[in-house]
Amino acid sequence: MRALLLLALALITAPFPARAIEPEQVERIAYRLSSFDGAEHGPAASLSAGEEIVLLADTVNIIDPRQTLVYYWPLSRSFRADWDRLDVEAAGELEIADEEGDARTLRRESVVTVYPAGVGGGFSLMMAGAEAEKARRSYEQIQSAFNRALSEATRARIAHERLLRDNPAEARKRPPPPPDPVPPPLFVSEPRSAFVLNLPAGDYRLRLKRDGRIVEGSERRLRVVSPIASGSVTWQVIPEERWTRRLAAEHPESAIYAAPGATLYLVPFRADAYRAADIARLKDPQAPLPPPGEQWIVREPLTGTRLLAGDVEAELKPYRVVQRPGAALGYRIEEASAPQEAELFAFALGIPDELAGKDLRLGLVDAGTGEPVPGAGRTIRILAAERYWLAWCTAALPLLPALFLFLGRRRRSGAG
Amino acid sequence: MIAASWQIFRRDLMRLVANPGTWVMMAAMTFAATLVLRNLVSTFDTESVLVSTLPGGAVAGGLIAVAAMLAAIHTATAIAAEQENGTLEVLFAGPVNAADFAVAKMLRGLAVAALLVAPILYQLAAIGLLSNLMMGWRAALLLVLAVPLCAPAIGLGLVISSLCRSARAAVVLSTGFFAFLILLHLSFLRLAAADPAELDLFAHYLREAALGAAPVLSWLSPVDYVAELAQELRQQSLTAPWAKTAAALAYASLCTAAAAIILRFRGAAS
Repeated sequence: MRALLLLALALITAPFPARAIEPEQVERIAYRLSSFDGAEHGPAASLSAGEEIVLLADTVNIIDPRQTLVYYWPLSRSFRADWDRLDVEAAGELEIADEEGDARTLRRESVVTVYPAGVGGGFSLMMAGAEAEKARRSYEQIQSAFNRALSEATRARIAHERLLRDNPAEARKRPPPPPDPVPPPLFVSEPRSAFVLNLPAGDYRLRLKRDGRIVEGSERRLRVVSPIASGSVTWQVIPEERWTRRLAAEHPESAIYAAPGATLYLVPFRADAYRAADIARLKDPQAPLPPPGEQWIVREPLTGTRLLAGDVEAELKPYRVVQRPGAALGYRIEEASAPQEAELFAFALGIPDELAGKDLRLGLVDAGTGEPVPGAGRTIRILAAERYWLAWCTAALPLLPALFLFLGRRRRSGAG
Repeated sequence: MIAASWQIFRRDLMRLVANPGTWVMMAAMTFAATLVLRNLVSTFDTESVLVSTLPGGAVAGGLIAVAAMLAAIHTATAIAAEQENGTLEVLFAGPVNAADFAVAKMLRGLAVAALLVAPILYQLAAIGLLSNLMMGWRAALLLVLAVPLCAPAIGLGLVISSLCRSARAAVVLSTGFFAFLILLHLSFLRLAAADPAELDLFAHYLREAALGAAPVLSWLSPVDYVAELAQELRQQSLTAPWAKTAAALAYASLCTAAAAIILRFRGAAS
């Protein structure tokens, strides 16, 4: 009996190896997505058949079915793909059926993503087929020309530095080497084979077919969404004292509260409102749903307009930020002499001190026709901080009944 | 039934309005709003612009949470104090029954919430007029909706009150209960925001369970009703939580019925 107890004790106290989390990986069809989010094409992936893919209506999107290893990762409560171990193109045709059951079949095409202002530059477009190959060739030519120019500039600089070291007098007589060329912002991705989707709003079913048969695990629900409010105007408000911290006045009900004497730089954008849940699922089909609400997708800056704020009219002008010289911190925003120098294109609006406590109605009119731009109206409320002390008086008002009641009670108790 | 409930409610309301403490609490709310908004106004010395639908929306949300807690604790004394003072037997000897009494006390709780939320709305409006920090009509509507959204907390306060024999016990129990609920809510928020990869196994499973139960708990916990409103008040586009408001009123009705049943059973037992 004692031996058994000792054995049990030894087993209980023996060190057990810690269990690692090594999820089981299953070979599945996953969809790599390049979904347009209103500005750029962002990467996303649909890994599980239960997921719904969300895309914006009437925009070009890329979908690429791949054979990969999918596993559930409990720490993030989501499915993940081990793209490094297996990432093979899933052959077949893509069938998309709408709610009425009408199906259309798509074939793979050679596609590229074009970023005219560079990746993260705020705009991208998709090209397919011969157009894609042409765009890529053109990008490669631009890159080659840049590389050549850069090598020539580097060679010239090295030669000048060498001459400066060996014969400074001669080097000073010669013109300085040309500066390095500015890298072209354009970027065109490598061509890849994928399906191009451009669908009107609606609910669809999507599946991969090979030799006329549905590939197992390739079915997905596809929801193509349209804006809940389109063609609205949102404003970007740039305070003069902190030009990198831009505030968004998106909702028509939101007001701009400004201190008197401030200068605001205002940039209007054309924007569409979508359900916040749709945008979250567009970026990640497994994303947790945000609270109900809308999310504004900024389309493009509204040019060809004039600002109206009370009696003030302003034109959209280029501005540049000039750092203060020397070791002192700070900067000032001044009008750029040429659009190429501009760091921002905005309407400048100075808030006069005498308008403290008043409202300014902000609006836009078409520069050509003079017609007001719908949905651009906002209110600028100008703070009157010097009157705030009166708020303490209004806060004290509920104390008056308290005092009367207290005195009344005391009088009654005294009389009693 | 309506006449009896109305008479008890009117009696309680007159007492509330005639109590200097009520007005002092209202003044505390207005001063708290003024103090915090003073800080907001002083930020305009360094930052010249603010884009908002309700300046100080976070302040209003916090004050509404305080108002809900105070209204719930105040309601917790409603039945227990009458029981302690011996007035309950007198009332029940007359034409008043347990349901009339519970309804009247629920209305009283809502009146306390309204008396505490009204000064916030009044002071925000006053500051808006004086300093031009005006709020939109939708923000004002949300502040009004704070009263029905406090109803679940008030309802639970009523149930606690019906279970206690003394006002002191009811206050201690309700304070402890709501403090526990608030702690639970804050712990859940912290756990939900934590990086799952950095949690130990126990915390991870706790997080899993909490996230799984969250959709149900958000309708059960009275803290969630007020927290959702407080969160909404910070958004740029304000959406009135009509579904939550309807659920809050249904919740309060159930609590009132529960309090009435408890009172009836306790009356029969005594």
